[in-house]
Amino acid sequence: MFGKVFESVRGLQVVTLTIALLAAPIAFGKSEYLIVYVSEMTEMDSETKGSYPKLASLLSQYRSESPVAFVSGGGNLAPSTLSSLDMGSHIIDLLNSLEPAAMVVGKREFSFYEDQLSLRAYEAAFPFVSSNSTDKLTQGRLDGTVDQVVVELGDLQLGILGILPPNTLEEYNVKRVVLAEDPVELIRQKAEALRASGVDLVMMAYSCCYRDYLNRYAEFDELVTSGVLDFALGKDEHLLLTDNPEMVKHPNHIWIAQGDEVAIIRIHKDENNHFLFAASKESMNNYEADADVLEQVEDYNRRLDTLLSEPLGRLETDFSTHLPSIRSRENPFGNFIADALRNHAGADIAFLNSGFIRAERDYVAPIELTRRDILAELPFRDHVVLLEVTGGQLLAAMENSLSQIEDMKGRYLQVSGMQVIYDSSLAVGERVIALKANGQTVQENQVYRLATRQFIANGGDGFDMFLGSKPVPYEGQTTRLVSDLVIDAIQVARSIAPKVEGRLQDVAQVERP
Amino acid sequence: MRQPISIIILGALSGFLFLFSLLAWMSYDRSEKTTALLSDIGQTALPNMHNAMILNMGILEIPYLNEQLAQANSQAMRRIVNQEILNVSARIEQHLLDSKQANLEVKFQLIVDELANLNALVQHKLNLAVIIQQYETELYRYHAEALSLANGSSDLSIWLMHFSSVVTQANRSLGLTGLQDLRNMRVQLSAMLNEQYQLIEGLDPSVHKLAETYTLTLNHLLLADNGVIALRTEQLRVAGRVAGRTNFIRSLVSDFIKETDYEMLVLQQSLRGHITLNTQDAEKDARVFLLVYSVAFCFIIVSIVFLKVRVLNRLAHLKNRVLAQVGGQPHVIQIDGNDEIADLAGAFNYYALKAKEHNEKVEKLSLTDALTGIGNRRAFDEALKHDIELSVALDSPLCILMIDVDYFKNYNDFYGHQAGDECLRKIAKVLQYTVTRKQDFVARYGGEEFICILQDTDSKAAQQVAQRILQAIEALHIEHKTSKIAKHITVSIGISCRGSGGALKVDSVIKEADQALYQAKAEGRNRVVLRETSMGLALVNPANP
Repeated sequence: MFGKVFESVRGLQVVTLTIALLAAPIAFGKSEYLIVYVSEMTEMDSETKGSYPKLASLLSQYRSESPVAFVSGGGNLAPSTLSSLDMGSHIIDLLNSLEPAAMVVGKREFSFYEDQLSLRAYEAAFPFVSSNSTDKLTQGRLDGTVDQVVVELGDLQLGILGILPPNTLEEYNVKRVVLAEDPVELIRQKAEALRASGVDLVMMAYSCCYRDYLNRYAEFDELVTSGVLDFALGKDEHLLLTDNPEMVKHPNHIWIAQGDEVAIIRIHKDENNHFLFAASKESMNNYEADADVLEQVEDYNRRLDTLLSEPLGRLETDFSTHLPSIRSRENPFGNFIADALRNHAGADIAFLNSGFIRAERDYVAPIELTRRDILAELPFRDHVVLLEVTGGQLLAAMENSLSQIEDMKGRYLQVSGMQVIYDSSLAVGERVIALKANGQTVQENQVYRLATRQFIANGGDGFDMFLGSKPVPYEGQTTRLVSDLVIDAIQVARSIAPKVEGRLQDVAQVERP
Repeated sequence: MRQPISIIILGALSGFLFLFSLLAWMSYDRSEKTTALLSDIGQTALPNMHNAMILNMGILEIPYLNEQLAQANSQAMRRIVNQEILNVSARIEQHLLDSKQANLEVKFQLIVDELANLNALVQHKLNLAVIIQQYETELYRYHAEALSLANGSSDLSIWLMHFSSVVTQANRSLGLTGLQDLRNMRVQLSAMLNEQYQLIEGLDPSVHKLAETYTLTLNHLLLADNGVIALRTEQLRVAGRVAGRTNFIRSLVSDFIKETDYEMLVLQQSLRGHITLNTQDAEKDARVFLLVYSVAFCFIIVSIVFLKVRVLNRLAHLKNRVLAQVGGQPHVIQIDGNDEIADLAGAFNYYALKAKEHNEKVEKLSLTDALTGIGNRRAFDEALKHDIELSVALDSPLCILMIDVDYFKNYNDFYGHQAGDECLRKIAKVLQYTVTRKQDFVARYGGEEFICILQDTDSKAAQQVAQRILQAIEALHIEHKTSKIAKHITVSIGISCRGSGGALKVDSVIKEADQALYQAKAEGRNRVVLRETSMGLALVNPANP
């Protein structure tokens, strides 16, 4: 429903702007500046998630016409198969070829934690912008980042601000960084300061995701409406999944929702030095791949092909890792991973958050699973921990798991050795009806051996009930990543057939959109 | 039920042989298994772990070499480090081959390839630096040249100032670190160079060419496809790539080390599992071995006990019995059981019986009393019959002396049978020495009874003989504590005579003698009593006053 409204408003905007543009042919001929904005490009060359070679061609074309500021909204460094190996270096390399004016630091840039992010910043020949974050260690910027960028765009000075969503720290388990209490006020102050120093235009780029800003959205819109910001850009592939009536208000407050979409802002300065903005969207797929960048991409593919194409074993049953299949119900692959964790640690029970599983693919048996497949699904590098937890903690964890089911957030747990019966129609925090471990009802004070991700043990995704639990070290724990364990398990079994087994049952059985 | 010893002994020996063989086999088997395990450890597990260790040590050098390569600031340095990398890699690859770890080989190959890549990148980076350095030098040179050439020429001064400002800007570009900034710089320089051309237009034709040449060259130096701006852009990208590649290799090596650690752990666990299994196996075997050994031990003990009790003891018993038999009275030997030894006892009993019967037969046939050596009852009967007939034929007197040892039973009881036998022998000897005439006969009549036949002897002479016998026996002084009438052995003698004329029956003669003896006993023993048969009267004649 929201999608339709959004589309219709979009359409209205385009019509309005086209008319405006047609009515001002003189303005067209005058100075024109371009902002090219993309975001969330985790794949090197993909039809659905964006292609760097094609984007390069797009940029070449526009750069031959006018001054261009190419801004990346972040969310690029992970998750992807290659990133699981090089932590995003290849993306920085490709971006270097495209010469961005700036890249906004998004929450996914923290996938491998703060220090790796800093390393990437030093590999980049462009600034990493993060306006609302501070490093606790230095009380200043996170190493390698800046809080704003002023770019020369032809004869204009363009100020670029970029923000992280408020749930970054929790979702990505970031410990060293603090976010500004009031991002809206912060942006306002920075924008005003920039203008005071002589900057002509100020823009803000959001990093994913739309749903994360909803409770401040109206305020941000007000910044655009009131002219504090000239425009604000964001991208969220899953924007249309949000079941919320909040709409884009101001035409300069732009969100793109398709993986291959590029936002183009045409800026016209008229005789009176007033700016007119015309926003449009284009698909990268309309362009031919740039040969040099394509060669770069193919070089990366070649180098890692032998390793990634290694066959692991056969898959005999079907499953999907699209968000609805994995973040709101029991998933066969989720079961398999949880089982692998439990077996490795020799635990009673195991679980992991479904947000760990990323590829959003369909699998139709029988197929041969390769290392590439598994790394695409499990690109985050994380270790197993074995914890001794009480039944009380388990119950709290389960309630947390079910607390954001409607938004299909990644904290939804896939389990092993447990059975959970819940009602998603009940209030948050009261959704668990029955909780069993190995067939026995979970007792409040009984201690269980739980295997899970380091991320969850460190309190990520709201699982702070485990922060006090001391991990139980076991042999072989630190040498295997979770992805390694899953690969091992498939290789040992040679053929796997994971199934839904009734570990997680929703009594309400509400249909998710 | 029959329990043949031969079968039992055979069975016992077989049983023991079997148990012994079992124990020996178990020992051998266990020793084989342990040898196999040790051999396996020695040939597989230990070398594997050694390999893993060597591998780990080799791999730990790589991160350091990685950093060194990235930071190499000359081609020579780069070459040295790269050669070291190749050496270490070759060593590691050899170890991977030796230990046949295919999955590690693939991963290490990636590391090697990436290092080669990095090497090429670093080479490129260093080349670029050199080229840019050259450009920089060229730029300065050009600038200096232009300055010197145009110095003094007022026409060129404006153009020169502008030219200098372009060069200054260009120099700035070498310090820019942002690609966007470089791009902007390119645009700016391009605009400035256009201004240059415009300036040149307005110059005097004489200097026009000169200025144009310099400007064109500057343009080329800066903005050509391989110009300074392009090179600097490339340099930034390569720097980024070198950093990225180095970081990537570091990450790969770190993963690889974890992988080898894991492999080593798996090896260790497998080995431990192996050993534990073997130990459990060995313990189990040891228990069984102990059990079988205990059984064998008990078996031996039982066999020994059996041999002792059922065979040796009974054989000894049999031997004793046989010896006892040979020495003394014949008894039936009782040997319990139903086996060869019992058979042996039975056989012996049979032969003993037969011997006894034979002896008895022989004895029956003999006329000699075995004990004393004088005549026996049978001899006496024959002799009496003969003598009576002779006495009747010759009508000569005949006398019989019946001699009985006084309180002989008491003597036997008190002094024992052997003493009794010896006593009888002595008495017999006395009789032999006393009754010496050829026609007289001495015999042992019964247990303690002796009898003499005195041919052609009347009652008076018989009495004298009897007296002589009494005295002789007294002279023997055989101690007899249990005699009621004396302290030594005495005898009682009963005489019966037959005078001349009249028939004489054997029975009646003996009967008369017997009666006389009886009388002698009744009158107090140790005396002689005579009874005349023909008269039917008894004449009492006290032996000693």
